Amino acid sequence: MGDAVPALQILATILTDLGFALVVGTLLAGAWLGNEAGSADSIRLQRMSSVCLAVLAVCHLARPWFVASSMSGTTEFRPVLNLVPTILSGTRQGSLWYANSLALAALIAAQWQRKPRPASLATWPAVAALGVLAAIRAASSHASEAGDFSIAEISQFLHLLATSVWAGAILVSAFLVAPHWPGFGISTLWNYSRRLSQTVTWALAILVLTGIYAAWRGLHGSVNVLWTHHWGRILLVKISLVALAVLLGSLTRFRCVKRPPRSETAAIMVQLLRYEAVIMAVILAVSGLLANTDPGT
Amino acid sequence: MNHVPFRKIQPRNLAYVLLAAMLAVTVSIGFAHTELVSATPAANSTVKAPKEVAITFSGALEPKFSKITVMDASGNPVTKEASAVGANMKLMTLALPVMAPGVYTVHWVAVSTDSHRSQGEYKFTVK
Repeated sequence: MGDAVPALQILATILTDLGFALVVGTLLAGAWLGNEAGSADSIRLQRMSSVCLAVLAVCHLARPWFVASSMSGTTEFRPVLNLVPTILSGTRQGSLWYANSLALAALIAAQWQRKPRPASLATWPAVAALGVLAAIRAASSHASEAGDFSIAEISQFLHLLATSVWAGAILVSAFLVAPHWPGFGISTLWNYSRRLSQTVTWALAILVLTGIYAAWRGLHGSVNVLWTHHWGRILLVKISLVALAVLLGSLTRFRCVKRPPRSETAAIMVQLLRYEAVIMAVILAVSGLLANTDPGT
Repeated sequence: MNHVPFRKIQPRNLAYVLLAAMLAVTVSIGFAHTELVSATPAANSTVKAPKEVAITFSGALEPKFSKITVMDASGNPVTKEASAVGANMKLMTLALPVMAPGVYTVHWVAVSTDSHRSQGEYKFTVK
């Protein structure tokens, strides 16, 4: 069991990132499709967000155990389990866990209230709950060392949100929306893609600005870490994948979205979106690995 | 197969490439160990019997999981007192009893508020 703990913890981080991004993605997709979505589209999106919420809940319930394991430096199940009450009552991570429970419950309630048609009233409570969840994740990360509501923490919060918007919107669009366009028609697909393209561009801009800030803060001017450490090499892999995703995204935008709607172009768009989505999933996995790797000094 | 011919590179495509290049310097630090910044008595120093060991770390500590232990030359802890983290969350102290001359080992465990654990050891001499 002991050896599997770090791997399980990385897996939980990846699943939480992925689940969060997909919930954001289904919410955006629902809003962009608006009333043009058929009930089949709405059900597809709804099912996806239900599955993601279940995954988020499981990871959330397991989190205090992982925190206890990390803080105590032990991996045996029982002794770590006995530390969980101390974690919940006596640490910062414990207080944040309670706050996270409330936000997650609010999100699940909002999901429950969502009408079969997307973009209904419950969208706004869901957006608020997602915002709170992202803020809590920023507050439990290393960025919180600079203090609550510090620029570092706010920047990390925006970074998390922008990543989720980008990855979530692309993944959901590629697998749950775009391939089903014959159901809602090509002009809806084009309107949808325009919104997707604009939103992703904004998300990317925020991602870059907050990322550069984190780099300036975190690297302390030692760019060598990128080449000399295990952590730096993983980061280089991540950066290359991000560049590849951006390239595919721009290809989709300029070869498809900016051209007149035609079914041949739509087929290419669906294919390009799929490639981008697969790369996006790998980026999330690499980020989870990165977050659990010691950068060294 | 339907192929749509490529257009020439547009300035906006270049903007995307620029964005990608900027991403080449982005990082999101998710993990970092709390390190020892300064300590009294300092590592490898020779001092008069100190009243306490005080260590400042690079980040805020989790009081219930962080600790300092001081051992004498034969490896026995010199005090039953527990170390404490005060209002300054980066500072951890351990009150010491009257210390006889000799070599002592300080062992510290620092758990950061983002849940990462690090530890270390150093020696000092009481004259």
